[in-house]
Amino acid sequence: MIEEKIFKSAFARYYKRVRVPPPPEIHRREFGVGEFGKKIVRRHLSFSSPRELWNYLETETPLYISYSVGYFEYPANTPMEAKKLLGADMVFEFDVDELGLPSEKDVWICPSCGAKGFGSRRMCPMCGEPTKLIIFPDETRMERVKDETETLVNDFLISDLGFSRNEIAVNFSGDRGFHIHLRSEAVYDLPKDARIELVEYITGQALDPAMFFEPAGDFLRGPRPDMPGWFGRIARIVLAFLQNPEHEDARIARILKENAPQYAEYIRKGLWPVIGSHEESKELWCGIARKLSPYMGKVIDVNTSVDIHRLIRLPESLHGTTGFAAKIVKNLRGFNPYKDAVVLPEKPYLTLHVSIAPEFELKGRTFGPFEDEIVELPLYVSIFLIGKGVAEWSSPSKS
Amino acid sequence: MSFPVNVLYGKIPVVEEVSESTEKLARLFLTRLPGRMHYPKDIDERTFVELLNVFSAPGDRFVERFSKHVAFLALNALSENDITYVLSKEGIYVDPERPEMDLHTYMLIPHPFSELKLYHLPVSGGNVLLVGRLRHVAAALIYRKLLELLPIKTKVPLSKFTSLMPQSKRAGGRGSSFFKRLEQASGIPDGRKRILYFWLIPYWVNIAGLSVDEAVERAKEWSERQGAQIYESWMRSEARNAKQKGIRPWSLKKVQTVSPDLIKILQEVGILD
Repeated sequence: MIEEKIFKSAFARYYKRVRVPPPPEIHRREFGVGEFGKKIVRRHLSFSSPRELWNYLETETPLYISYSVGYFEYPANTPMEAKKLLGADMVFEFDVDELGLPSEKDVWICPSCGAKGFGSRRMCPMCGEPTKLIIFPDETRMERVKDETETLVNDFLISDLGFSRNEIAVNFSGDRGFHIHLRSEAVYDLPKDARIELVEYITGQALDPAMFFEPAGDFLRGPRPDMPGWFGRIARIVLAFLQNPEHEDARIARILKENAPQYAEYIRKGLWPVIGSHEESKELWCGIARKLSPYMGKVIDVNTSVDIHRLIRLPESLHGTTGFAAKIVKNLRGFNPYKDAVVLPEKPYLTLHVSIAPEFELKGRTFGPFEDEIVELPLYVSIFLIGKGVAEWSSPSKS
Repeated sequence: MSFPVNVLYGKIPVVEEVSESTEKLARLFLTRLPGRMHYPKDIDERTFVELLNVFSAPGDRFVERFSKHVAFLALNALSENDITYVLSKEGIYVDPERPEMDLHTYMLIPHPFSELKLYHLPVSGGNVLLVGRLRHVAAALIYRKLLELLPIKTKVPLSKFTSLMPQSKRAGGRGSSFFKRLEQASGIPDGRKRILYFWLIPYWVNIAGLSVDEAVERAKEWSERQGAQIYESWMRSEARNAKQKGIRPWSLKKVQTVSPDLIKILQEVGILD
């Protein structure tokens, strides 16, 4: 397949030029590689040294390469038990999809009837079947992902859980989000249950309101905004909410609006107003916090974080869907994946048949929109569109 | 009478016979499992040792249930001295002025009580504050200790207890062999998409531990074997959804209520009796 050859040759040139930094303790890691359209086709690989890894990347040129979050005594052994797990890092994955933010810059294609269009449509308007959503660069949306990533690192991992900045590494996933690698002695030997609990702490899943409040006369004694952990977080979320309160129940909305400043004053002292019964009030306040907090269950890919056998993209390696590098990010705010992670060259230009693509920006240049067009595009754009499944190589004579 | 902490951390004697009162209690455990209110609020040293011997043998489920019960008893019965004793025996240093524990130590303690879950505690700078929770922590440590300790070698005539144990649900029900049969099946005439949705995809991604990509590959192979045309995008979206939400395979009972014809199909092709 010509497209695969285009990818292979572009990737091989990159790996000849760039020495991808190996993960810590490379000899203890399992690696997995993918080919065109498949992220993992072969796993249980291992490399004893960085040089061996670099040679492999240059000669075999996989389109995806991932390594294990786990450290194994015998990483190449199969089945998994024979690898003898020694410990594991913890990885958090933030993805544009997880945020569920629609964008006009996305494209949908219906695998059933072949219809396609712009926007984040999940169901086909022609046949009603689920569509395939193709995520395109949208800087505003990426800023949201960065916000979430920063909050996870600063508020949860550093402030609450006490990890140091040296133990946390952030890298771009190479496509739609960020990976946060936590490499610390404090997580190395944690069993799966403990990892689940740490993730639950961050997502706030299964928080029980009853644990934060107890009746105290006409009030509920509850968390103050200056308290650590979820105690303070809940109080701060509700205080922010009280600046402009809204509620689906008109009666509660009216009470909240009328008394917001006074309620806020009480909450700062750890005394939470009772509206209705004590139990109803517990539910009300926690319901508000649950609704407003972005960490309540949706944002992080839980499976990635708790699975100690997981393979995760090797930082600085290329992503076979976009051709972007999974860049190590030092300064998240200043990082623009659509510029900084686009590492493939401009030349050669390729002639492609693009079935659909919105207007999008890469390396500061604007491309598209395209709809069933034959166009000549720089290599890095061609790889991106082919990888996304919206373009195929077209021999120049066709145009 | 305080909880027999000393016995737990000392050498546990093996008993030759259980007393009548312990036998009665053991029967209660084995037959009225959720009825915590029927159990004594404290148990003396001898009964504790006898129960330990009895429950160390019947199997994981009972060992865990017994350990939880003992942890619950400990929660109510531990004296201040017991708490300090248990924590120090487990090598845990807790600042007495402002009880706190480092995150790593804390995360290695199993948490049988919801109030010990990390999000229910003030956590700051990698320290878990345990104001008013030390009793719970000590009880959790006892729970861990018991799980590690059991089963112990026992000389108790267990036959009189094993007959009381309910049959494992798995023995007569759908276990991994059901999934094996489903996976290996070919030529299923109808309901193939539902089989993937109800059972196989959740099984692959959440029980067999396959990645979404691997599950999709298996689903493709499986549907080809059945002669079914099922879109890969559908399989992928279901696998991803099952993985993200941790969806487990449906029970036969539940499928029976929503899709009774599917059960009939499985019976016809011999996957179900």
